[in-house]
Amino acid sequence: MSTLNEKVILVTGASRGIGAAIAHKLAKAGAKVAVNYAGGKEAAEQTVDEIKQNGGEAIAVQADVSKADEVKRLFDAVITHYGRVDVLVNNAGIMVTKLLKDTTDEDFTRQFDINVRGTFNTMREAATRLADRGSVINFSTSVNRIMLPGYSTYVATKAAVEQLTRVFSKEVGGRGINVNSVSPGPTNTELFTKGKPQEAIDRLASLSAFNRIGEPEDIAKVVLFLASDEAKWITAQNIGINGGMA
Amino acid sequence: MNTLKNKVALITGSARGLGKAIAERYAALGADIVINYSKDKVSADEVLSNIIAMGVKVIAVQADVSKVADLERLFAEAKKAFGKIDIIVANAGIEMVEVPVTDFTEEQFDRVFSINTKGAYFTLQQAARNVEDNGRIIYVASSTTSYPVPGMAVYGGSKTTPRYLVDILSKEIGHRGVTVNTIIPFAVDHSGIFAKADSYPALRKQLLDSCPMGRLAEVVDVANVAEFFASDLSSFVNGQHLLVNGGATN
Repeated sequence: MSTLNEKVILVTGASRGIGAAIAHKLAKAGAKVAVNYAGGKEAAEQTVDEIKQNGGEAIAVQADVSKADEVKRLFDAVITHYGRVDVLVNNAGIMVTKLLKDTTDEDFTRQFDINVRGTFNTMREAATRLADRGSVINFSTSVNRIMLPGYSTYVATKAAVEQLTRVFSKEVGGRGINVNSVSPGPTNTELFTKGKPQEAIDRLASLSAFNRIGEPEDIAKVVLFLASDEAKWITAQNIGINGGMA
Repeated sequence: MNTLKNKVALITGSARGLGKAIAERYAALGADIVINYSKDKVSADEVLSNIIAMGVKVIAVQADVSKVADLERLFAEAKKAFGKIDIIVANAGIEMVEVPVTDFTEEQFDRVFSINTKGAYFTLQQAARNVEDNGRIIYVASSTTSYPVPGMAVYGGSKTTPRYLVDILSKEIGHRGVTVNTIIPFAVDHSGIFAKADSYPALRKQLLDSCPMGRLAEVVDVANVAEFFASDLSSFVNGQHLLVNGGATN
């Protein structure tokens, strides 16, 4: 019943926000968690310390997922330390919200490098190095379904992630690996709320049937389900976690 | 980790197959159970004894979901026995496959739609009227609603319409903290039309060939997801339709 029985789980971008909530949740359910970070060393180490204080098991591993050689090193490090990787959670991602006309080449490239190439890099390693009967959980977004102005390039990256998810699931199904994506709606993280006026947050909250935005814990709970054996027959699917917003 | 202690769950069509597997799973997680059956009292009584042996409270209520008066009585008896209903699974349905569009009759259409569509609509209406705050409403559809298969026009059509009601109800009732979601199972082995290993060989082969995991679903695969939608893990998952099909494309 959603216990993870010492599965080794790699969570990318797990030093803060939703990624850190996922790392905590999975560790609490019995997983050994590799907390990946790109630049937030202190935050990642704090996440690992907190997990250990709560009786869990975790390590922090630096790697920029947009760079293939660093992702290879990331898998090397986790496999050296824990012996295997059972579940890959591709949480690392960035979001730039600007009207298309104002979006720079660099905004475009950075989002595609981290969100799409990053997911591609980790899945390419996972294709041969993830354990049989493992799981991959990718991150899309519910904004894919509601077409908000200012999100054009961000949702384009996430649409690509959803397609990578669907096709990759067919390629690794034979090894019993299931591959799914989740689509959080607006979620209460510093990254999301920083610089946004309260009325903008309230307006997004009103789109949910529950009249609130999501909490990182709401997302982590669904990732826990998808990482568990209970979800093994679910593959190539996308689950919206948005309180009925879309 | 998931627990349904102190919850009451009502599952329509739970004498056999998926409904039985879901009822027994919820009971194993500690919920008190309302079993529903239309005709097969013998099977319902077997589920009843299985669940009594698990140490939770359980009743079995005969009701034909295609009759609104029966549904009203089903929910009233559940409320009378347990005082509340936290989880409702609209599962009851009948199958009809390998009947091309040129061949189905008015009688077949009326029978399938009265149980699968009218039955689901009024089950979900009763659910909306009776479910506790922060409760769970789950509709069990069929993967043919996502991947149309020849010969399933009537069956697939009858299972598609209630998905639309799930979309609407999830928005109407969300303010009470209730979630409304759809489970969309693939063909289930050892159950329903595939209860026998040699039934519908051509359809079985077509479905198997389209599944990367190389098998049909088992009732336990669907019960796993029914557990998720009933549990706290899905607290912010609302108005979603989840395929449980091993990645199949048929």
